[in-house]
Amino acid sequence: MNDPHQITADAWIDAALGELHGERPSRSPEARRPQPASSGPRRLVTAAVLLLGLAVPLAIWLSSPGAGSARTAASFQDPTQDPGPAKQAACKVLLIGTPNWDVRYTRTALLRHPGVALSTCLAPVDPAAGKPTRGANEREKTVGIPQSLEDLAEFDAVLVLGRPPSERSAAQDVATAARSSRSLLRLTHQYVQAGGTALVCVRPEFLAAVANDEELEPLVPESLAPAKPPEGSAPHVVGPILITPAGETDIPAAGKAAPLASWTERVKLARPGQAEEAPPALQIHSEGEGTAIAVSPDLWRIRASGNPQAFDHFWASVIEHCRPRQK
Amino acid sequence: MFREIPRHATPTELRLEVWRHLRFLGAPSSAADDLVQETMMIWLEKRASLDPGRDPAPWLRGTARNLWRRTCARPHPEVLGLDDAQLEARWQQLQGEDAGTHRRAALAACLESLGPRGRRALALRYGEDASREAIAQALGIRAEGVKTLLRRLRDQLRRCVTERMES
Repeated sequence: MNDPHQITADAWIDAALGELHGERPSRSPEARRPQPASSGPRRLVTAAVLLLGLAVPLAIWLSSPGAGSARTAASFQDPTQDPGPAKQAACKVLLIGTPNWDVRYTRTALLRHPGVALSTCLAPVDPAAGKPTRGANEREKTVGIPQSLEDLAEFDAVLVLGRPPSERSAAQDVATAARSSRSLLRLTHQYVQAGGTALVCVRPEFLAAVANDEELEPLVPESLAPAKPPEGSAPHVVGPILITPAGETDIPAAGKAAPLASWTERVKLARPGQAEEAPPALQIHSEGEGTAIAVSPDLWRIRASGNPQAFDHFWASVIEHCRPRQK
Repeated sequence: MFREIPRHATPTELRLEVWRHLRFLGAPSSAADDLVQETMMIWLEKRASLDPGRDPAPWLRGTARNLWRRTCARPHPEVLGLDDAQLEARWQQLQGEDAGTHRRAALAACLESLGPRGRRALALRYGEDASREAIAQALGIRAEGVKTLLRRLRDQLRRCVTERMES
């Protein structure tokens, strides 16, 4: 069959049948909605301030022992470039979370990294089919939710970017979401103490799960908690273009796009002369035999800051922390 | 000052349009999600250099196509082998002026006209992403027969949709 007319008609029907049977694009965040662009100079200022806010913690991090080389960061951008001897073997990374848009950003960035062998746990695995029930991408290996330390042992690094995947949303079942988050964090903690490298994105569900648990504080430090949105504002966050340093008031009215207080604060505090007061975008701890890295849930904004390379650079640096484990 | 978004479609509609186009090009749902995201980010970055008075949909579709061609593993879906102009023309023809609403309604009506076995097969294939073996087991036929059955059903639906749209 080579008739373009029929090929396209069949392709249309194929796609439409999926939709008629319930297939939908994943829910897009407000941040992915193209926002009205601010004027050029403001956009530049916003991008500069955002990057400045990241520069301090990144500089501290990059100057730490075992920090990433510029070469790796550069080669991250070009998958065709020989990554050279900087990495002898691919770092086995496990990414855990729910398949939402910011997890996808990270997954895409990691897939571009030549030094990463990515496995993901972004959807529950159907035991009968032996594959994730949904959301699986063909480009990476998919695994089920880790249940024991043995399940994590093969990985050099574990990135926990959200609660473990579930057929029910956190809103549908708050108790289960908290339980599963807690269980995952406990396992991750054991993994770090045994010598692994784990990165946890400090999301509200994790903060709730580890409330009053000093043991897990190195994994989920409260200092990285996002601030609550202003009273009465919509729960979603604004797009990157609309983030302005504090003091500017042209953020759209609440209800359409609420200012993200935590990030605005960081931008404000990271202005020149005030950087020492800036809350960190990430924290690194030596914990047991391993390393725990905690990152702010606002990190996706690097991707949307007007400098897309910054996001890949960030993850390149994270991966440099990943060392083959002493087995 | 904020730049006005052209009135042709809301951003949500544009995202859905790009997602549907990628699905039309054979992108699996998850890949389409990723590529829509990338496409919209590229648009966000380049929007200042685009003509604000023009409908952004063709530009977005073209960008999404390029991204999908770049990332699509071989073998490519057959439809992706067609040239851009052909694809764009056919897409616009298939979607019509209502973003495919009428055509989808016609397809839904045609789907209802199928027998229960056909509907069950399509529900398993498209609703549950069931394997050929699983469909065969559910319908009590051989696995090799499933491919033929699905092809016949699609042919039947295509003819039915064409007739309805023409009438």
